[in-house]
Formats: sequence, C-alpha cells, structure tokens
Amino acid sequence: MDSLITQRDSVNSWMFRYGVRFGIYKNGEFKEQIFPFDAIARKISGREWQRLERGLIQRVKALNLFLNDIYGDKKIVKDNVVPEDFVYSSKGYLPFCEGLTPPKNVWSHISGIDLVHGKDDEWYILEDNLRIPSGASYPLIAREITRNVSPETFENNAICDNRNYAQLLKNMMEYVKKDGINVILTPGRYNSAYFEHSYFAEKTGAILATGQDLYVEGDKLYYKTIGGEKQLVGVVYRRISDEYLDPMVFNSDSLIGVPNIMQVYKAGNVAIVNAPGNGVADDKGIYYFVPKMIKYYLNEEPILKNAPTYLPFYEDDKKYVLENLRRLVIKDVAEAGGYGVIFCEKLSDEKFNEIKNLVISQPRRWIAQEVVDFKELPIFEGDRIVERKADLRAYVISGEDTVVWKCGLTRFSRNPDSFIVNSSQGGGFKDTWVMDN
Amino acid sequence: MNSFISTAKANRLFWLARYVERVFISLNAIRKYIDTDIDGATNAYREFCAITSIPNNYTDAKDFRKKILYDKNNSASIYSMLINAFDNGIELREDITSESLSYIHLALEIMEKCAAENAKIFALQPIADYMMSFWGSIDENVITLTKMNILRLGRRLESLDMNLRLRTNWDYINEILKGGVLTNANMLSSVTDNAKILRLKELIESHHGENHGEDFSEIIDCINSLFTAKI
Repeated sequence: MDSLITQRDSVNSWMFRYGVRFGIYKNGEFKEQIFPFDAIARKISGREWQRLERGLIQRVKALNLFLNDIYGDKKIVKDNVVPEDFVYSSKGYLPFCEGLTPPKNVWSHISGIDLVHGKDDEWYILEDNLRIPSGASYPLIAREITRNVSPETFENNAICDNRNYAQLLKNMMEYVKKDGINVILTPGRYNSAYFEHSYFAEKTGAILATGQDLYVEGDKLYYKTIGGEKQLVGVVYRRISDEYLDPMVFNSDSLIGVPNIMQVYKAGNVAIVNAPGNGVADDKGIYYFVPKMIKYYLNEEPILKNAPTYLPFYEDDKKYVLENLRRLVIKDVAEAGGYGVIFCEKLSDEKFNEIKNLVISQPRRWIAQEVVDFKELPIFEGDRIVERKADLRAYVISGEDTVVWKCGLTRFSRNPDSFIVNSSQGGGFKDTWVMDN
Repeated sequence: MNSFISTAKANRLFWLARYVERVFISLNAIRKYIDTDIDGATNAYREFCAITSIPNNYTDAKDFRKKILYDKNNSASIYSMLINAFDNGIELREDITSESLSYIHLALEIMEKCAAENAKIFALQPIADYMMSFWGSIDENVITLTKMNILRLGRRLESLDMNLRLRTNWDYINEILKGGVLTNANMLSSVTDNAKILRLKELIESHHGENHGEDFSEIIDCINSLFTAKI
C-alpha cells in the first residue's frame, strides 16, 4: 500500500479530473465539494467477508420478505412479531402500495446496509437503507483510479475486483424490467448525489432522465426523444424519494416526479428500483425487529447482530432507557444522514431533561442504543496518520440472486471526537479491500 | 452508451459544442488582438468588440485583457464561456463519457488558477489544448450517430459564426459551410429547419467573400435558429 499512499495526491487530482464530488446546501446555496478520499484502504479478510456476506444476504432476504408481507398478507403483524403501531405509523409506509407486488417480487433491489466493526471484533448493523442508498460510485471510481496510479499495489495484494458493480446493477435492472428501456431518474444537477446518478447512467448504459423527460400515456411510461418520438420505459432506477415520485399520488407540489407513474407501476408495466414503500422496512424503529424477522421468515438465527437497541415504546425498555439515558445514544426515527442522533453523555442538563421528556411523551419517535465502541481506522491528516471512527456501507443487490458487492463505502469522521461519518457532515471515504484469501 | 436522446439533452449537446468551440476560437483570436495592442495605443481590442458584437465596456487595453479572459460575470469572457460549456457538459456525462467531460474539468481548473493570479494569456494555452483533447475524446467515445451529428453541427455552426465575424478567408468559410454545417444539418432533419439551412447557404454563397455585407444579421439569425431542439 506504500506506493499508493505516496501517490495519494495523484489520486486526488484524478478524482478532481473526473468530477468526483457531492453537493451540499449551505445557507440555501448549492455547493459542490470534493468527497475527501483517504488512500489507506480498509482491509477485510476473505474469511471475515464470507461471514459478512452470508449475514447481509440473510438480512436483505428477510427484509424483502417483510415488505412483501406488510403490503400483502401481514402475517408478521397478525402473529404479533411486529406491532402494527410500528408499521402503520411509519412515515415510510405507503397505503397506496397495499396489495401491490413489484415485478419479480423484488422490493429492495439495492440495499445499503451500514455496519461498524466493534472493538470486540464483532460487526454490528447500525442501519438498513432500502430506499435510495447512495455512495457506491465513490469506491468504484476510487478503485479505477488507484489501480491506474499504483498498479503495483494491486499486483502485490490479492484484492477482490470490485469493478462489476455497474454490471450487477445492469443485470438486476434487466431481470426486473418490463418491456422497454432502462432509465435512471434524477432530480437533476443540483441533487447532492448527481455525480453518482450520471456516473451510473454512463456505466450501465441507462438513460439519465429527469421527470420532464418522462410521461405516462395509457398506463405506459415513455421517454420523450427528439423529433417527437417516444420510447417505452421498462425499468426506472429512481433517485427521487417516494414522496416526490408522483405528484398525483404523493406530494402534489413535486416538480421533479412523473405524474401518474404509480398508475403504470400498479398496472405492472414498469419496474421501479427500489420499490416505493420500502421506507417502512428501513425505519429506525423497525430496525429493532429485523433479527425477529430473520427468525420468523427464514427460521434461521441472525448471523449479524444489531447494535443493542431499546424501544421506549415498550414499557420495560422505556424504564431501562430512562434509567440509563446518560450513557445511551438516542435516535429520532424520522431523521437520516446522521441527523437526529443524540449522544446523551454530551448533553447539558437542560438539554438532557428536554430529551428525557420527549422520550416519555413521544416514545414511538425514538430508539435508544448502547454506544458501540467501534474500531478506528488510520487516516492521513496532512502528513501524519491519525485514528478516526469509521463505518462500512455494504451494498446488496437483489435481482435473480441476492449478491453482496465485494467492496463497500468506508466512511470516516474527520473530527477526532465524533462518531458521525456522513459526508454531509464533513466525513471522508476510503476504498474497502475484500482480500482474496 | 444509450442511443436515445431527449430534446433537452439535444439542446445541451448543441450548446456544449458551441461553447467549447467558442472558447477555442475566441482564445486564439483574443491572443492576436492582445498581441497587436502590445505595441501601444492601437486599441485593437475595440475592433474585436465591434466585429464580435460584444459591448465595449472596457476602459483600455489592459482592462480588456483582464476582463475578456477572467471576468466570469462578463458573458463575453473566456471564463464565462467555459462555465457555460461545463454547465451543459455536466448534464451529459453518460452521453459524452466521463473522459470527455474531464477535459472541461481540467480546463476550468486552469481557468480558476489563472483568474486568481490574473495570469498572462499564454498561461491559458492548456485550455486550448484541452478543448482539442475534448474533441478527440468525443470522436473516440461518442458512437451514437445522432449525438455525434448534433455535436458536429454545433461545433461547425459556431465556427462559421466566429470565422465570419473574424473575417477569415472565404475558402475556409465555404468549407465550414459545405463540409461541416450542411452535411451534419442534413442528417438531423427532425431537429433542423430546412428553410433556414437553404437560406443560410444562399446568403453565404451570394456574399462571395464579402463577409460583412448587408445580410450579415440574417446570416447570424439563420445560424442561431436552424437547430430547433429547444429546452
């Protein structure tokens, strides 16, 4: 890895050259910035990866079965494994999707599962992202660049190739699609992940479209081309969240969606990746129940653990949470992107009491977790190496098969006192090397 | 690479091509005018403003040198043209490839550095080089005929516009018209106005080398309106 490290400036200049950026809004203004790349890759042994792979596939299969059940027979609710309060009060639950079955019965085509590696050497799942998990483009392009800049690094290390991600996406889209072309639907250039949208369009050969490029006619979805011709669309990999996807069904103010696309979906004439309604399964409250889902649907013991989690919704858990609140981390189930995460030990007494009262008055809104003391990884800061907290987002693609991409996005905090690794909050990223041994 | 293209993207491809070509031709032209001004008091820049139909908002040759290159709020500046090229290109990555787009990124990087230092014009030579590399990459990577024809039409129309203004020799202009503009426009019948194409041909041929005749504004109008894919 030394050769790669000495050439890290070259890597960053290639990143710039390819426009590897993400956008953020600060004070109402859109700015694009570099996602800081650290050349010291995270290494995961082949053996360790095999276990992760089995656990991730198991988890995603259970989550897909859960979604199918919730919008179908609801057996898991009827059997009192998951309380209905947690399903129907979830912001991600879409009544419109009741009774719908997505093409090939796949709901979460691309699942981004966030894990941390505890100091006890155990991997813990922190979060499931089943709506629009982003970030895979960064380690993908980083690998392409680092292989060019430092080929000897890859000659001398048995690292699993990760360059098949676009092919995995394409295969999945081809599997679930109906008649027609493949489209990636973007909100547009000023979306924080626009680089990724356009990069995946390039790499998968799909058309990058905005809502204005698509229209519905007679229960079919079309892409408008020059000269007034139209092309039937068979699959939409949408990078627009559910609430903005169809102004006729969800948020009527949405200007970035496609009017009546949900009617086409309901008629079974287009596949939408990921399926609308998935938010009910990656709700932070539902997270608590995923190990139970694995047992319920697959009759297997969960291979990967959740971080120890408590639901104030349950009286016993609420009592424990209130008694131990100072050392717990509290998460607002409606928030994402590292927001709404409160480390109670750092709170002033006034703020602490405020949170405590909120837990009492709105127990459904919160989950509480033990602070997982996860491993730090070495990163470059200037010319010195320092240790920082890091997580791993693994990508699981569900099409004909469920497969885990042999890589992942390792995000790290640049703040020595922070556990928050999100890019929107200043974090950086590393490549993730799955070793071929 | 997909072969379908929306009207909005067709428009962006066209303007991407025009701005890239405008950067290249303008940079070379401005270099000549700045060179003429070196010997003092000729104020050749005024002629440049007149023939390219840009407002002469410059106090002197020095002010012109700075603003025509680096004032990104001046729509006539090279910086502004490059931003316009980028703004179109960034929405076309999957159509033109990351490699082609990278040359515009690289050119902008040079521009940002040079603007911060108010560098002399020779420091911008890599931008001209990147524009040439961009076209090389386009030739290599864009294999969809419609997209390529739109890019070529935009490039050649811009070249025709600029060379007419700069009073380039007639044979060259005629070659741009016949070999570039007409050939590509004829292959894009669904997004070009045939009447405008014929009128453009007629007007230019009737000039017989008198580039700035009475019909010049109509020539420019034909150039600007014959491509009909608008956002």
